[in-house]
Amino acid sequence: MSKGIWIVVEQRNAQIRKVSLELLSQARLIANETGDPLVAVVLGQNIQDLAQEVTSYGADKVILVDNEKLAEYTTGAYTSVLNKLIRKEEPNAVLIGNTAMGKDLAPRLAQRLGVGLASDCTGMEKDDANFLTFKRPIYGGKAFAQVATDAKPVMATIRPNTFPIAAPDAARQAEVVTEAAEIDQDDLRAILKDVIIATSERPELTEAEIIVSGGRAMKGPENFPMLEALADVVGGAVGASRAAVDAGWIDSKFQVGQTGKTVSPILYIACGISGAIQHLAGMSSSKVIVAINKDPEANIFNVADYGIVGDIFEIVPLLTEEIKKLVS
Amino acid sequence: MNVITCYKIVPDDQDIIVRDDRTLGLEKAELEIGQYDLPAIEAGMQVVADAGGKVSALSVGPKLLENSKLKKGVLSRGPADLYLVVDDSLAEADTHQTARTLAAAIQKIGDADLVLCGEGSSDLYAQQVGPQLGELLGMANINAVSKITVEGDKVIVERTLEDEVEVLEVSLPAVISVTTDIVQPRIPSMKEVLSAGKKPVTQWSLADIGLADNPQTMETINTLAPELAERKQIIIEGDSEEAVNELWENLRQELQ
Repeated sequence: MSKGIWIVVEQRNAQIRKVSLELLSQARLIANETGDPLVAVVLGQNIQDLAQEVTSYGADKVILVDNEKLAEYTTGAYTSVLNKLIRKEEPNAVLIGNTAMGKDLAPRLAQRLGVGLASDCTGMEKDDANFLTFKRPIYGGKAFAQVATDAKPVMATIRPNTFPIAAPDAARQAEVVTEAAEIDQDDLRAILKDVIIATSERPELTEAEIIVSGGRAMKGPENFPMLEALADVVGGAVGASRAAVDAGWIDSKFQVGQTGKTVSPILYIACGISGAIQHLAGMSSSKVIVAINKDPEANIFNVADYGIVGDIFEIVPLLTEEIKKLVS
Repeated sequence: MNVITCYKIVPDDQDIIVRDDRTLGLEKAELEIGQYDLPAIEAGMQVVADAGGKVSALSVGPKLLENSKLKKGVLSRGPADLYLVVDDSLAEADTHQTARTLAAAIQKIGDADLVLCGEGSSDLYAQQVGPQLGELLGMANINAVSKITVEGDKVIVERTLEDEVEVLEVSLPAVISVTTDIVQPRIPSMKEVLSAGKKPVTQWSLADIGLADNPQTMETINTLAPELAERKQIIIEGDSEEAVNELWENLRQELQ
Protein backbone atom coordinates (compact mmCIF):
# COMPACT_ATOMS: atom_id res chain seq x y z
CA MET A 1 0.00 0.00 0.00
CA SER A 2 1.57 3.19 -1.10
CA LYS A 3 1.09 6.02 1.30
CA GLY A 4 2.51 8.88 -0.61
CA ILE A 5 5.39 11.27 -0.98
CA TRP A 6 4.58 14.58 0.69
CA ILE A 7 6.04 17.93 -0.27
CA VAL A 8 5.59 20.65 2.35
CA VAL A 9 5.04 23.64 0.07
CA GLU A 10 6.51 26.90 1.33
CA GLN A 11 4.57 30.05 0.50
CA ARG A 12 4.69 33.65 1.61
CA ASN A 13 1.72 35.90 0.92
CA ALA A 14 0.40 33.19 -1.42
CA GLN A 15 3.63 33.19 -3.45
CA ILE A 16 5.11 29.69 -3.69
CA ARG A 17 8.84 29.49 -3.16
CA LYS A 18 10.77 28.13 -6.14
CA VAL A 19 12.32 25.25 -4.19
CA SER A 20 8.85 23.80 -3.53
CA LEU A 21 8.20 23.56 -7.28
CA GLU A 22 11.64 21.96 -7.73
CA LEU A 23 10.72 19.33 -5.15
CA LEU A 24 7.32 18.66 -6.72
CA SER A 25 8.97 18.25 -10.13
CA GLN A 26 11.63 15.80 -8.92
CA ALA A 27 9.35 13.88 -6.57
CA ARG A 28 6.90 13.44 -9.47
CA LEU A 29 9.57 11.40 -11.27
CA ILE A 30 10.21 9.27 -8.19
CA ALA A 31 6.50 8.82 -7.48
CA ASN A 32 6.02 7.53 -11.02
CA GLU A 33 8.48 4.74 -10.20
CA THR A 34 7.28 3.88 -6.70
CA GLY A 35 3.57 4.25 -7.42
CA ASP A 36 3.14 6.61 -4.47
CA PRO A 37 0.67 9.44 -4.79
CA LEU A 38 2.45 12.82 -4.75
CA VAL A 39 0.87 15.05 -2.12
CA ALA A 40 1.41 18.81 -1.83
CA VAL A 41 0.76 20.11 1.68
CA VAL A 42 0.18 23.86 1.87
CA LEU A 43 -0.13 25.74 5.17
CA GLY A 44 -1.07 29.40 5.40
CA GLN A 45 -3.95 31.84 5.16
CA ASN A 46 -5.99 32.48 1.99
CA ILE A 47 -4.11 29.78 0.10
CA GLN A 48 -7.05 28.11 -1.68
CA ASP A 49 -5.86 29.46 -5.03
CA LEU A 50 -2.51 27.69 -4.71
CA ALA A 51 -4.08 24.22 -5.13
CA GLN A 52 -4.25 24.58 -8.90
CA GLU A 53 -0.63 25.76 -9.13
CA VAL A 54 0.83 22.84 -7.13
CA THR A 55 -1.38 20.44 -9.09
CA SER A 56 0.02 21.73 -12.37
CA TYR A 57 3.52 20.83 -11.14
CA GLY A 58 2.59 17.21 -10.53
CA ALA A 59 0.59 16.77 -7.31
CA ASP A 60 -2.00 13.96 -7.21
CA LYS A 61 -3.50 15.32 -4.05
CA VAL A 62 -3.39 18.71 -2.31
CA ILE A 63 -3.87 19.14 1.43
CA LEU A 64 -4.69 22.73 2.38
CA VAL A 65 -4.57 23.94 5.95
CA ASP A 66 -5.96 27.46 5.83
CA ASN A 67 -5.95 29.34 9.13
CA GLU A 68 -5.16 32.87 10.28
CA LYS A 69 -2.74 31.45 12.86
CA LEU A 70 -0.70 29.96 10.00
CA ALA A 71 -0.49 33.22 8.02
CA GLU A 72 3.10 33.68 9.17
CA TYR A 73 5.42 30.77 9.83
CA THR A 74 5.97 29.90 13.46
CA THR A 75 7.80 26.76 14.54
CA GLY A 76 5.20 25.73 17.10
CA ALA A 77 2.06 26.04 14.97
CA TYR A 78 3.54 24.52 11.81
CA THR A 79 5.14 21.61 13.73
CA SER A 80 1.88 20.94 15.55
CA VAL A 81 -0.27 20.87 12.40
CA LEU A 82 2.14 18.77 10.33
CA ASN A 83 2.84 16.30 13.14
CA LYS A 84 -0.87 15.57 13.48
CA LEU A 85 -1.41 15.24 9.72
CA ILE A 86 1.61 12.95 9.24
CA ARG A 87 0.58 10.70 12.13
CA LYS A 88 -2.90 10.41 10.64
CA GLU A 89 -1.90 9.74 7.03
CA GLU A 90 1.48 7.99 7.54
CA PRO A 91 3.23 9.03 4.30
CA ASN A 92 6.36 7.21 3.13
CA ALA A 93 8.36 10.42 2.74
CA VAL A 94 8.16 14.10 3.72
CA LEU A 95 10.32 16.53 1.74
CA ILE A 96 10.88 20.20 2.58
CA GLY A 97 13.04 22.92 1.00
CA ASN A 98 16.26 23.70 2.87
CA THR A 99 15.24 27.32 3.42
CA ALA A 100 15.21 29.36 6.63
CA MET A 101 11.75 27.93 7.29
CA GLY A 102 12.64 24.35 6.32
CA LYS A 103 15.77 24.41 8.48
CA ASP A 104 13.72 25.51 11.48
CA LEU A 105 10.70 23.29 10.94
CA ALA A 106 12.08 19.97 9.70
CA PRO A 107 14.38 19.02 12.63
CA ARG A 108 11.73 19.84 15.22
CA LEU A 109 9.08 17.92 13.28
CA ALA A 110 11.39 14.91 12.79
CA GLN A 111 12.18 14.91 16.50
CA ARG A 112 8.48 14.99 17.40
CA LEU A 113 7.81 12.13 14.98
CA GLY A 114 10.81 10.24 16.33
CA VAL A 115 12.49 9.83 12.94
CA GLY A 116 15.79 10.94 11.41
CA LEU A 117 16.24 13.79 8.97
CA ALA A 118 18.63 14.14 6.05
CA SER A 119 19.22 17.89 5.92
CA ASP A 120 20.66 20.24 3.31
CA CYS A 121 20.63 17.53 0.63
CA THR A 122 21.93 18.05 -2.90
CA GLY A 123 20.81 14.68 -4.26
CA MET A 124 17.90 12.27 -3.85
CA GLU A 125 17.44 8.81 -5.36
CA LYS A 126 14.94 6.02 -5.17
CA ASP A 127 16.31 3.11 -3.19
CA ASP A 128 14.88 -0.39 -2.88
CA ALA A 129 15.99 -0.97 0.71
CA ASN A 130 15.34 2.45 2.22
CA PHE A 131 12.76 3.99 -0.15
CA LEU A 132 15.02 7.01 -0.74
CA THR A 133 18.69 7.81 -0.23
CA PHE A 134 20.12 11.30 -0.07
CA LYS A 135 23.43 12.96 -0.81
CA ARG A 136 24.56 15.86 1.37
CA PRO A 137 27.79 17.89 1.48
CA ILE A 138 30.01 17.68 4.58
CA TYR A 139 33.33 19.27 5.59
CA GLY A 140 32.52 22.44 3.68
CA GLY A 141 31.78 20.59 0.45
CA LYS A 142 35.00 18.58 0.53
CA ALA A 143 32.99 15.37 0.56
CA PHE A 144 29.45 14.11 0.16
CA ALA A 145 27.81 11.66 2.53
CA GLN A 146 25.17 9.28 1.26
CA VAL A 147 22.60 8.82 4.00
CA ALA A 148 19.46 6.79 4.54
CA THR A 149 17.04 5.65 7.21
CA ASP A 150 14.78 2.63 7.42
CA ALA A 151 12.17 4.47 9.52
CA LYS A 152 9.06 6.06 8.01
CA PRO A 153 8.41 8.68 7.04
CA VAL A 154 11.76 9.29 5.38
CA MET A 155 12.39 13.01 5.95
CA ALA A 156 14.72 15.36 4.13
CA THR A 157 15.33 19.01 3.41
CA ILE A 158 16.64 19.71 -0.11
CA ARG A 159 18.83 22.65 -1.06
CA PRO A 160 17.29 25.17 -3.50
CA ASN A 161 18.39 24.93 -7.17
CA THR A 162 19.19 21.20 -6.79
CA PHE A 163 16.49 20.01 -9.20
CA PRO A 164 15.03 21.61 -12.34
CA ILE A 165 11.39 22.72 -12.42
CA ALA A 166 9.27 20.76 -14.90
CA ALA A 167 6.88 22.52 -17.29
CA PRO A 168 3.51 22.96 -15.54
CA ASP A 169 0.47 21.13 -16.91
CA ALA A 170 -2.55 23.40 -16.43
CA ALA A 171 -4.98 20.62 -17.36
CA ARG A 172 -3.82 18.33 -14.56
CA GLN A 173 -6.43 17.43 -11.91
CA ALA A 174 -5.89 16.57 -8.26
CA GLU A 175 -7.97 15.75 -5.24
CA VAL A 176 -8.05 18.84 -2.98
CA VAL A 177 -8.62 18.30 0.73
CA THR A 178 -9.01 21.04 3.33
CA GLU A 179 -7.89 20.06 6.82
CA ALA A 180 -8.58 21.97 10.01
CA ALA A 181 -5.59 23.45 11.84
CA GLU A 182 -5.26 21.97 15.30
CA ILE A 183 -3.04 24.44 17.10
CA ASP A 184 -2.55 24.30 20.83
CA GLN A 185 -2.18 27.67 22.55
CA ASP A 186 1.12 26.38 23.88
CA ASP A 187 2.38 26.14 20.31
CA LEU A 188 2.54 29.91 19.91
CA ARG A 189 5.47 30.84 22.10
CA ALA A 190 7.14 33.01 19.50
CA ILE A 191 5.13 36.03 18.42
CA LEU A 192 5.90 37.82 15.20
CA LYS A 193 6.20 41.55 15.91
CA ASP A 194 7.43 42.97 12.67
CA VAL A 195 8.75 42.06 9.25
CA ILE A 196 11.43 44.16 7.64
CA ILE A 197 11.28 43.53 3.92
CA ALA A 198 14.49 43.88 2.01
CA THR A 199 13.82 46.29 -0.84
CA SER A 200 16.04 44.55 -3.38
CA GLU A 201 14.48 43.84 -6.76
CA ARG A 202 17.16 41.25 -7.43
CA PRO A 203 16.56 37.52 -6.96
CA GLU A 204 17.48 35.93 -3.66
CA LEU A 205 21.02 34.48 -3.70
CA THR A 206 20.19 30.79 -3.22
CA GLU A 207 17.45 30.93 -5.87
CA ALA A 208 19.25 33.10 -8.44
CA GLU A 209 20.13 31.57 -11.79
CA ILE A 210 22.99 34.00 -12.32
CA ILE A 211 25.24 35.43 -9.59
CA VAL A 212 27.85 38.15 -9.97
CA SER A 213 30.19 38.03 -6.98
CA GLY A 214 32.93 40.37 -5.83
CA GLY A 215 36.02 39.75 -3.70
CA ARG A 216 38.97 41.55 -2.21
CA ALA A 217 40.04 43.06 -5.54
CA MET A 218 36.81 45.09 -5.59
CA LYS A 219 38.85 47.48 -3.38
CA GLY A 220 35.88 49.18 -1.70
CA PRO A 221 32.11 49.47 -1.32
CA GLU A 222 32.00 52.24 -3.93
CA ASN A 223 32.76 49.65 -6.63
CA PHE A 224 29.91 47.24 -5.93
CA PRO A 225 27.39 49.22 -8.06
CA MET A 226 29.52 48.04 -11.00
CA LEU A 227 28.61 44.42 -10.11
CA GLU A 228 24.98 45.38 -9.52
CA ALA A 229 24.83 46.86 -13.02
CA LEU A 230 26.08 43.59 -14.51
CA ALA A 231 23.73 41.55 -12.33
CA ASP A 232 20.78 43.71 -13.40
CA VAL A 233 21.33 43.31 -17.14
CA VAL A 234 21.27 39.52 -16.75
CA GLY A 235 18.56 39.41 -14.04
CA GLY A 236 21.02 38.04 -11.53
CA ALA A 237 21.93 38.46 -7.88
CA VAL A 238 25.03 40.04 -6.34
CA GLY A 239 27.24 37.99 -4.03
CA ALA A 240 30.54 38.49 -2.25
CA SER A 241 33.47 36.61 -0.81
CA ARG A 242 34.19 36.62 2.90
CA ALA A 243 37.08 39.03 2.31
CA ALA A 244 34.70 41.67 0.93
CA VAL A 245 32.22 41.11 3.77
CA ASP A 246 34.88 41.20 6.48
CA ALA A 247 36.21 44.44 5.01
CA GLY A 248 32.71 45.89 5.57
CA TRP A 249 32.11 46.64 1.89
CA ILE A 250 28.89 44.65 1.64
CA ASP A 251 26.38 43.15 4.08
CA SER A 252 27.06 39.61 5.28
CA LYS A 253 23.77 38.36 3.84
CA PHE A 254 25.47 38.50 0.44
CA GLN A 255 28.34 36.25 1.50
CA VAL A 256 28.87 33.11 -0.55
CA GLY A 257 30.96 30.38 1.01
CA GLN A 258 31.29 28.10 3.96
CA THR A 259 30.10 30.56 6.58
CA GLY A 260 27.75 32.27 4.14
CA LYS A 261 25.26 31.07 1.57
CA THR A 262 25.71 27.96 -0.52
CA VAL A 263 24.61 28.56 -4.08
CA SER A 264 24.15 26.48 -7.25
CA PRO A 265 23.33 28.96 -10.02
CA ILE A 266 23.51 28.22 -13.73
CA LEU A 267 26.19 30.90 -14.08
CA TYR A 268 28.55 32.19 -11.37
CA ILE A 269 30.77 35.13 -12.26
CA ALA A 270 33.59 35.59 -9.73
CA CYS A 271 35.06 39.10 -9.97
CA GLY A 272 38.35 39.68 -8.18
CA ILE A 273 37.88 36.59 -5.99
CA SER A 274 41.03 34.61 -5.30
CA GLY A 275 39.21 31.31 -4.74
CA ALA A 276 39.89 30.38 -1.11
CA ILE A 277 38.62 26.90 -0.23
CA GLN A 278 35.91 28.40 2.01
CA HIS A 279 34.55 30.34 -0.94
CA LEU A 280 34.68 27.37 -3.31
CA ALA A 281 32.68 25.35 -0.77
CA GLY A 282 29.78 27.74 -1.33
CA MET A 283 29.73 27.88 -5.12
CA SER A 284 31.53 24.88 -6.63
CA SER A 285 28.26 23.21 -7.63
CA SER A 286 27.49 26.12 -10.00
CA LYS A 287 26.91 24.86 -13.51
CA VAL A 288 29.21 27.33 -15.28
CA ILE A 289 31.89 29.27 -13.42
CA VAL A 290 33.53 32.38 -14.85
CA ALA A 291 36.57 33.89 -13.15
CA ILE A 292 37.72 37.45 -13.76
CA ASN A 293 40.99 38.20 -12.00
CA LYS A 294 44.19 40.13 -12.63
CA ASP A 295 46.32 37.38 -11.06
CA PRO A 296 46.79 34.47 -13.50
CA GLU A 297 47.86 32.27 -10.56
CA ALA A 298 44.61 32.83 -8.61
CA ASN A 299 43.09 29.55 -7.43
CA ILE A 300 39.68 30.53 -8.81
CA PHE A 301 40.96 29.79 -12.34
CA ASN A 302 41.43 26.12 -11.36
CA VAL A 303 37.68 25.67 -10.94
CA ALA A 304 36.58 27.98 -13.76
CA ASP A 305 35.02 27.00 -17.06
CA TYR A 306 35.98 30.39 -18.44
CA GLY A 307 38.60 32.71 -17.12
CA ILE A 308 39.68 36.13 -18.17
CA VAL A 309 42.96 37.43 -16.88
CA GLY A 310 42.71 41.17 -16.58
CA ASP A 311 41.42 44.19 -14.71
CA ILE A 312 37.87 43.74 -13.34
CA PHE A 313 37.35 47.51 -13.56
CA GLU A 314 37.81 47.29 -17.35
CA ILE A 315 36.19 43.93 -17.99
CA VAL A 316 32.99 44.13 -15.91
CA PRO A 317 31.75 47.42 -17.46
CA LEU A 318 32.67 46.19 -20.96
CA LEU A 319 30.77 42.96 -20.39
CA THR A 320 27.76 44.86 -19.03
CA GLU A 321 27.72 47.12 -22.11
CA GLU A 322 28.08 44.15 -24.44
CA ILE A 323 25.08 42.38 -22.90
CA LYS A 324 23.03 45.61 -22.81
CA LYS A 325 23.54 46.03 -26.56
CA LEU A 326 22.21 42.55 -27.15
CA VAL A 327 19.21 42.92 -24.91
CA SER A 328 18.10 46.22 -26.49
CA MET B 1 19.85 34.90 33.18
CA ASN B 2 21.44 31.47 32.83
CA VAL B 3 22.80 31.00 29.33
CA ILE B 4 24.16 27.69 28.04
CA THR B 5 26.09 27.81 24.76
CA CYS B 6 26.68 24.53 22.96
CA TYR B 7 29.72 23.93 20.81
CA LYS B 8 31.34 21.10 18.85
CA ILE B 9 34.99 20.19 18.46
CA VAL B 10 35.69 19.57 14.76
CA PRO B 11 38.66 18.87 12.49
CA ASP B 12 39.99 21.94 10.66
CA ASP B 13 38.73 21.10 7.18
CA GLN B 14 41.65 22.86 5.51
CA ASP B 15 43.85 19.98 6.74
CA ILE B 16 41.56 17.19 5.53
CA ILE B 17 43.19 15.22 2.75
CA VAL B 18 41.30 13.68 -0.17
CA ARG B 19 42.91 10.34 -1.04
CA ASP B 20 43.10 8.92 -4.57
CA ASP B 21 40.11 6.65 -3.90
CA ARG B 22 38.09 9.78 -2.93
CA THR B 23 38.00 8.83 0.76
CA LEU B 24 39.05 11.46 3.30
CA GLY B 25 42.14 11.49 5.51
CA LEU B 26 41.51 13.33 8.77
CA GLU B 27 44.72 12.29 10.55
CA LYS B 28 46.54 15.58 9.98
CA ALA B 29 43.56 17.79 10.72
CA GLU B 30 43.96 19.89 13.87
CA LEU B 31 41.00 20.01 16.19
CA GLU B 32 39.26 23.33 16.73
CA ILE B 33 36.06 24.86 18.09
CA GLY B 34 33.45 24.92 15.33
CA GLN B 35 33.60 28.23 13.47
CA TYR B 36 29.81 28.62 13.70
CA ASP B 37 29.97 28.07 17.47
CA LEU B 38 32.37 30.91 18.29
CA PRO B 39 29.77 33.62 17.46
CA ALA B 40 27.23 31.74 19.63
CA ILE B 41 29.62 31.88 22.60
CA GLU B 42 30.23 35.59 22.03
CA ALA B 43 26.48 36.24 21.63
CA GLY B 44 25.97 34.58 25.02
CA MET B 45 28.59 36.87 26.56
CA GLN B 46 26.77 39.88 25.10
CA VAL B 47 23.44 38.74 26.54
CA VAL B 48 24.82 38.48 30.09
CA ALA B 49 26.74 41.74 29.69
CA ASP B 50 23.35 43.41 29.06
CA ALA B 51 21.01 41.40 31.28
CA GLY B 52 23.29 39.96 33.94
CA GLY B 53 23.74 36.28 34.72
CA LYS B 54 26.28 33.80 33.51
CA VAL B 55 27.27 31.78 30.48
CA SER B 56 28.08 28.09 30.76
CA ALA B 57 29.67 26.23 27.84
CA LEU B 58 28.60 22.69 26.98
CA SER B 59 29.92 20.09 24.58
CA VAL B 60 29.33 16.38 24.05
CA GLY B 61 31.64 14.04 22.20
CA PRO B 62 34.47 11.52 22.37
CA LYS B 63 37.50 11.64 24.67
CA LEU B 64 39.27 14.26 22.58
CA LEU B 65 37.05 16.86 24.30
CA GLU B 66 39.30 16.47 27.33
CA ASN B 67 42.21 18.14 25.50
CA SER B 68 43.22 20.97 27.84
CA LYS B 69 44.04 23.40 25.04
CA LEU B 70 40.53 22.99 23.62
CA LYS B 71 38.94 23.42 27.07
CA LYS B 72 40.95 26.59 27.64
CA GLY B 73 40.06 27.71 24.13
CA VAL B 74 36.39 27.76 25.07
CA LEU B 75 36.75 29.17 28.58
CA SER B 76 39.10 31.96 27.45
CA ARG B 77 36.24 33.28 25.33
CA GLY B 78 34.27 34.18 28.39
CA PRO B 79 32.08 31.36 29.77
CA ALA B 80 32.17 31.05 33.58
CA ASP B 81 32.26 27.26 33.56
CA LEU B 82 32.31 24.28 31.25
CA TYR B 83 30.31 21.03 31.11
CA LEU B 84 31.40 18.05 29.04
CA VAL B 85 29.67 14.74 28.36
CA VAL B 86 32.39 12.37 27.19
CA ASP B 87 31.87 8.99 25.58
CA ASP B 88 33.70 7.56 22.59
CA SER B 89 30.40 6.30 21.16
CA LEU B 90 29.59 9.97 20.46
CA ALA B 91 32.37 10.27 17.86
CA GLU B 92 29.97 9.24 15.09
CA ALA B 93 26.81 10.61 16.70
CA ASP B 94 24.05 11.74 14.37
CA THR B 95 22.13 14.93 15.12
CA HIS B 96 19.44 13.05 17.04
CA GLN B 97 22.00 11.43 19.36
CA THR B 98 23.85 14.72 19.80
CA ALA B 99 20.65 16.60 20.61
CA ARG B 100 19.45 13.98 23.08
CA THR B 101 22.82 14.02 24.86
CA LEU B 102 22.89 17.83 24.99
CA ALA B 103 19.27 17.93 26.22
CA ALA B 104 19.98 15.48 29.03
CA ALA B 105 23.03 17.50 30.07
CA ILE B 106 21.10 20.80 29.94
CA GLN B 107 18.42 19.29 32.18
CA LYS B 108 21.07 18.07 34.61
CA ILE B 109 22.76 21.50 34.70
CA GLY B 110 19.27 22.90 35.34
CA ASP B 111 17.63 26.36 35.27
CA ALA B 112 18.64 27.29 31.72
CA ASP B 113 16.89 30.45 30.50
CA LEU B 114 18.53 30.58 27.12
CA VAL B 115 20.32 27.86 25.14
CA LEU B 116 22.47 29.12 22.26
CA CYS B 117 23.79 27.15 19.29
CA GLY B 118 25.66 28.05 16.12
CA GLU B 119 23.71 27.68 12.91
CA GLY B 120 25.40 24.33 12.23
CA SER B 121 28.54 22.35 12.97
CA SER B 122 31.45 23.13 10.68
CA ASP B 123 32.02 19.44 9.88
CA LEU B 124 28.60 17.92 9.11
CA TYR B 125 26.59 21.18 8.98
CA ALA B 126 23.24 19.45 9.38
CA GLN B 127 21.81 22.60 11.11
CA GLN B 128 19.43 20.41 13.07
CA VAL B 129 20.53 20.33 16.69
CA GLY B 130 19.06 23.71 17.73
CA PRO B 131 15.46 22.93 16.67
CA GLN B 132 15.81 19.34 17.98
CA LEU B 133 16.89 20.70 21.35
CA GLY B 134 13.87 22.99 21.41
CA GLU B 135 11.61 19.99 20.92
CA LEU B 136 13.39 17.77 23.46
CA LEU B 137 13.49 20.49 26.13
CA GLY B 138 9.94 21.68 25.41
CA MET B 139 11.23 25.18 24.66
CA ALA B 140 10.64 27.52 21.74
CA ASN B 141 13.36 27.35 19.09
CA ILE B 142 14.29 30.06 16.64
CA ASN B 143 16.97 29.70 13.98
CA ALA B 144 18.85 32.19 11.77
CA VAL B 145 18.95 34.78 14.56
CA SER B 146 21.17 37.79 13.90
CA LYS B 147 20.24 39.93 16.93
CA ILE B 148 19.10 39.21 20.51
CA THR B 149 17.72 41.81 22.93
CA VAL B 150 16.60 40.76 26.41
CA GLU B 151 13.34 42.28 27.72
CA GLY B 152 12.44 40.85 31.12
CA ASP B 153 11.45 37.20 30.76
CA LYS B 154 11.35 37.51 26.97
CA VAL B 155 13.86 38.12 24.22
CA ILE B 156 13.30 40.12 21.07
CA VAL B 157 15.19 38.55 18.20
CA GLU B 158 15.80 39.36 14.56
CA ARG B 159 15.55 36.35 12.29
CA THR B 160 17.14 36.71 8.86
CA LEU B 161 15.13 34.92 6.18
CA GLU B 162 15.83 34.74 2.46
CA ASP B 163 14.54 38.20 1.66
CA GLU B 164 13.23 39.67 4.87
CA VAL B 165 14.03 40.04 8.53
CA GLU B 166 11.45 38.97 11.09
CA VAL B 167 11.32 40.57 14.51
CA LEU B 168 10.03 38.00 17.00
CA GLU B 169 9.17 38.13 20.68
CA VAL B 170 10.17 34.83 22.24
CA SER B 171 9.22 33.67 25.73
CA LEU B 172 12.05 32.22 27.78
CA PRO B 173 13.32 29.60 28.18
CA ALA B 174 14.21 29.19 24.50
CA VAL B 175 16.79 27.65 22.18
CA ILE B 176 18.25 30.10 19.70
CA SER B 177 20.55 29.28 16.78
CA VAL B 178 22.56 32.32 15.75
CA THR B 179 24.08 33.33 12.42
CA THR B 180 27.82 33.98 12.10
CA ASP B 181 27.26 37.73 11.65
CA ILE B 182 25.48 38.20 15.00
CA VAL B 183 28.75 39.35 16.58
CA GLN B 184 32.45 39.12 15.84
CA PRO B 185 33.98 36.50 18.18
CA ARG B 186 36.72 37.83 20.42
CA ILE B 187 40.39 36.96 20.21
CA PRO B 188 41.14 36.06 23.85
CA SER B 189 43.63 38.25 25.69
CA MET B 190 46.59 36.74 27.53
CA LYS B 191 44.75 37.40 30.81
CA GLU B 192 41.67 35.57 29.56
CA VAL B 193 43.78 32.59 28.48
CA LEU B 194 45.53 32.44 31.87
CA SER B 195 42.34 32.68 33.90
CA ALA B 196 40.62 30.06 31.70
CA GLY B 197 42.68 27.32 33.34
CA LYS B 198 41.21 28.18 36.74
CA LYS B 199 37.54 27.97 35.73
CA PRO B 200 35.49 24.93 36.83
CA VAL B 201 35.04 22.02 34.40
CA THR B 202 32.42 19.33 35.10
CA GLN B 203 32.74 16.10 33.19
CA TRP B 204 29.96 13.52 32.94
CA SER B 205 29.55 10.10 31.38
CA LEU B 206 26.38 9.04 29.54
CA ALA B 207 25.36 7.15 32.69
CA ASP B 208 25.77 10.34 34.77
CA ILE B 209 23.14 12.08 32.66
CA GLY B 210 20.88 9.02 32.59
CA LEU B 211 21.17 8.33 28.88
CA ALA B 212 21.55 4.59 28.45
CA ASP B 213 19.57 4.10 25.26
CA ASN B 214 20.31 6.55 22.48
CA PRO B 215 19.81 4.99 19.04
CA GLN B 216 20.96 6.40 15.73
CA THR B 217 18.27 7.68 13.33
CA MET B 218 20.30 8.23 10.15
CA GLU B 219 22.74 5.80 8.64
CA THR B 220 25.70 7.05 6.61
CA ILE B 221 26.21 4.64 3.73
CA ASN B 222 29.41 6.21 2.46
CA THR B 223 31.44 9.42 2.52
CA LEU B 224 33.34 10.31 -0.62
CA ALA B 225 34.90 13.41 -2.11
CA PRO B 226 33.00 14.52 -5.22
CA GLU B 227 34.30 13.48 -8.59
CA LEU B 228 35.90 16.65 -9.82
CA ALA B 229 33.51 18.49 -12.06
CA GLU B 230 35.03 18.73 -15.49
CA ARG B 231 35.67 22.42 -15.90
CA LYS B 232 36.44 23.72 -19.37
CA GLN B 233 39.33 25.89 -18.19
CA ILE B 234 39.22 28.21 -21.16
CA ILE B 235 41.38 31.13 -20.11
CA ILE B 236 41.38 34.37 -22.08
CA GLU B 237 44.20 36.85 -21.58
CA GLY B 238 43.72 40.61 -21.28
CA ASP B 239 41.00 43.14 -20.62
CA SER B 240 40.44 44.41 -24.17
CA GLU B 241 37.03 44.64 -25.79
CA GLU B 242 37.99 41.66 -27.99
CA ALA B 243 38.74 39.54 -24.92
CA VAL B 244 35.40 40.45 -23.34
CA ASN B 245 33.58 39.70 -26.60
CA GLU B 246 35.22 36.31 -26.75
CA LEU B 247 34.10 35.57 -23.18
CA TRP B 248 30.55 36.70 -23.89
CA GLU B 249 30.32 34.63 -27.09
CA ASN B 250 31.31 31.55 -25.09
CA LEU B 251 28.81 32.33 -22.32
CA ARG B 252 25.98 32.91 -24.78
CA GLN B 253 26.49 29.45 -26.18
CA GLU B 254 26.56 27.97 -22.68
CA LEU B 255 23.35 29.67 -21.63
CA GLN B 256 21.35 28.75 -24.73
